[in-house]
Amino acid sequence: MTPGINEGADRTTQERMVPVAGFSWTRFMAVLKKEFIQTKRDVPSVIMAVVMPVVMLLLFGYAVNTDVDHIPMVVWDQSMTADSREVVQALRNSTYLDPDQYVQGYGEIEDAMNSAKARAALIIPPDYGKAIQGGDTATLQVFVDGADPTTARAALSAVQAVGTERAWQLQSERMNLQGLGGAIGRPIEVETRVWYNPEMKSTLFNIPALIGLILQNVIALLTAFSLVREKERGTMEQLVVTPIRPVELLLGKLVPFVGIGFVAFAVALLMAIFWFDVVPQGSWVLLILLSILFLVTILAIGLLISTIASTQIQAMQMTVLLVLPSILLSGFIFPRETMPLFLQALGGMIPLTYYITIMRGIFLKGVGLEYLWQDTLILLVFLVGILTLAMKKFKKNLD
Amino acid sequence: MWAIETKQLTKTYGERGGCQGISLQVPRGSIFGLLGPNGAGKSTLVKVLVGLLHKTSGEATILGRPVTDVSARRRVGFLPENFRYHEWLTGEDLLRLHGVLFGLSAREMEERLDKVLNQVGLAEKRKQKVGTYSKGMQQRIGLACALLPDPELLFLDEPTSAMDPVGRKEVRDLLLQWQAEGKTIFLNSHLLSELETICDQIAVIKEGQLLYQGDWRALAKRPKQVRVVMDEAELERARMLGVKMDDVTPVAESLEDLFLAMVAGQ
Repeated sequence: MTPGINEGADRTTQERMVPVAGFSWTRFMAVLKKEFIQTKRDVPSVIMAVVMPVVMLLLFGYAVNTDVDHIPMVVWDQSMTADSREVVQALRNSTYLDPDQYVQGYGEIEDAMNSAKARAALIIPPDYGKAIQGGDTATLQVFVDGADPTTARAALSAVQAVGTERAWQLQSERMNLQGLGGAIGRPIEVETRVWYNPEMKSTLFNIPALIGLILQNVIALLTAFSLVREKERGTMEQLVVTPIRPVELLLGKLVPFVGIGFVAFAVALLMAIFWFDVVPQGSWVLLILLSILFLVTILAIGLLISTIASTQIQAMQMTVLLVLPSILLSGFIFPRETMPLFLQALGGMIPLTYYITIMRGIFLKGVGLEYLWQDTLILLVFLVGILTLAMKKFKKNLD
Repeated sequence: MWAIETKQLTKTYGERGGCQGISLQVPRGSIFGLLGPNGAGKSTLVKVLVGLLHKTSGEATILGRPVTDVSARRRVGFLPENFRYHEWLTGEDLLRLHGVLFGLSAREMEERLDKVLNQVGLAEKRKQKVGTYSKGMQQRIGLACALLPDPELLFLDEPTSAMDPVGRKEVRDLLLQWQAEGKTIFLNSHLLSELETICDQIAVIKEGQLLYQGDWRALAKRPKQVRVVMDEAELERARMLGVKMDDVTPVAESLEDLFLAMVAGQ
C-alpha cells in the first residue's frame, strides 16, 4: 500500500464526517418514498384499512346492542274479560314485551320458558275481571326467565311500570265513581329527562367507542406487521447498516401508517354519520385533533409490538392480547365503574379507555377540552411513554 | 492505524453463544479472512462491527471510530450473508436508495452507479426488478450496494456463495482490484481455497474464541513433507545410491490443512 493512497483515504474520511450528524430530511424522504411505494403495493393492508372498519362497524354496530325490547311473553288468561285484555294490551304498548302467545296451564308455560320461546309469562287469575269491577284487589302473576339478568330486569321493570300505571288509573276511576274525582292528584309526580341520548339508543353509545376500537385494532396490527415483516425478511438489515439515524428510519416507516390510519378513521366516521346516523355534537376540530393523538399513540403501540415480536405470528398474538382486554375493560361495552378495583386499574392502562371517554364526550355530550383535558393529558403521557420505550427497543431491536 | 481494531470484544446472547474476548487488528489495505466452523461466532462478530448488534463488552473501532458511531458507517460497505432486497425495486432504484442514505450527491450518484453496475456486471440489467434476478445476480447487486458509497472498508459475508465458478473468479479479481485502490476487505467465507489465493491475513475463531490471527503463509511456510518426482526405473537405484531426482518440492500445508488442524485443537 502506498502512502499516497493512505493520505487520500484519510482526507475522504474527514470530508465525509460532516453531513451525517443530525436529522437528514433527504434520508427521511428517501425512506418515506420507499415506504409509500411499498405500502401502495401491499394491497391486503390497504384493503384491510378500508374494509375492516366497515365490517367491524356493521358487525359490532348491530351485534353489540344492549337495548332490550320485544321480549317474547306467553299469557295464560283465565279471566278472558275486557279488563284482562286491557292489561295485555297495555303490556304490548310498552314495546318492551310481546305478549302474543296464549297458553293454558302451568305445563305449557314451563314448556315455553324451557324452550326459550318465551322469556316471561303472565298469569291472569279467573276472578281478575270480577275483582276489578267489584272494587277488590286483583292479583297478576308474572314469571320472568332470570337466566339472562339484563332481559329479566327489563321485563320486570316493564311489567311493574305497566302494573303501577294501570293500578293508578283504576284507583282514579274508582274515586271518580265515589265522587272524589278532582279532589286528589298523584301524591308524587316523578318527572324524568334523559340527557345526551334521550331515546337511550345503544348505537349512539357504542358507535363512537367502536371507532376507537377499530382504529386501535387496524393500525396496531398493520404497523406491527409491516415492521416485523421487514425484520423477518431481512430487508431491514440493509437499511440499518447505512448511516441512517433510527429516528429517520422510524419516521419514514411510520408516516404512511398515519395516512392509512386516517383512511380507516374517515371510513369509520362516514359510516357512523351516514349509516348509523350518529353525528358528533361537539367540535369537529377537537375530534380530529384528539383522534390524531390517539392514532399516533396506537402507532407507537404497533411499533412497540414490532420491537418485541420477531415473527408475524408473534405480532398477531400480542395484538390479540391487546384487543381482548380493550373490548372488556375499556368501558366499550361494560361500565368500568361497576368493575372490581383491580380490573378498573387494568382498564386504566389501556389508552383506548381514555379515547372512548373523549369520543363519547364529543359525540354525545358535545363537550370540549374543559371536560376532556384529563383524558387528553393521560393519552399524551401514554404517547410519550410508549414512544420512548419503543424507540429505545427499536434502537436495540436487532440484538 | 488499523482498519479494524477490537479489544476483548464480547457479544453474548444471554448466557450462550456469540463471541468472547476477541482482540483483533486488521491492517488497512489488506484482504483479511475470517474463518471458523459453523456457529463459531463469525457472523456475530461481523454484525457487531457493522453496527447491527450491540457489543456486550470490550472495545471495537472501525477506521479509528467506535462502531457505535453512525458516522463511521458512512465509510463502510456491507454485504450480508443472507442478502435480501426489496424485490419490487429495480436494481438501479435499490442502488439509488442506498446512495441517498449514504448521502451521495447527484453527480457522485451517477458516476458511482455506472461504475459499480459495470464492475459487478449488471449494467444491462439495471432496469430489471430485483425479484427477477437469479440468486447470483442478487448477490452481485448486494456487492454493488456495498460498493456504491466508495467505502474504505468492505465487509463481505460469503460474497460468492450463490455464484458459479466464473462468477467467483470475477469477484476474486474485483477484490484484488479494490485492494489495489486502497480499500480494506474483511472477508467471511467458507471457501478456503478462495481465501488462500487472495487473503493476506486470517483470523480463526472457534466457539467464540480467537484461535489465531496473522499471516497464514508464515504458519504454512514450515514444510513437513517434500514431494519427489523421479523416473520409476531409477526408484530402486535411488533408494540405494541417492541418484538423480527430477524435482523436489517442499509440500507446504494448504490453508485447509491449517484450518482443520486448528479447529481440531492441534
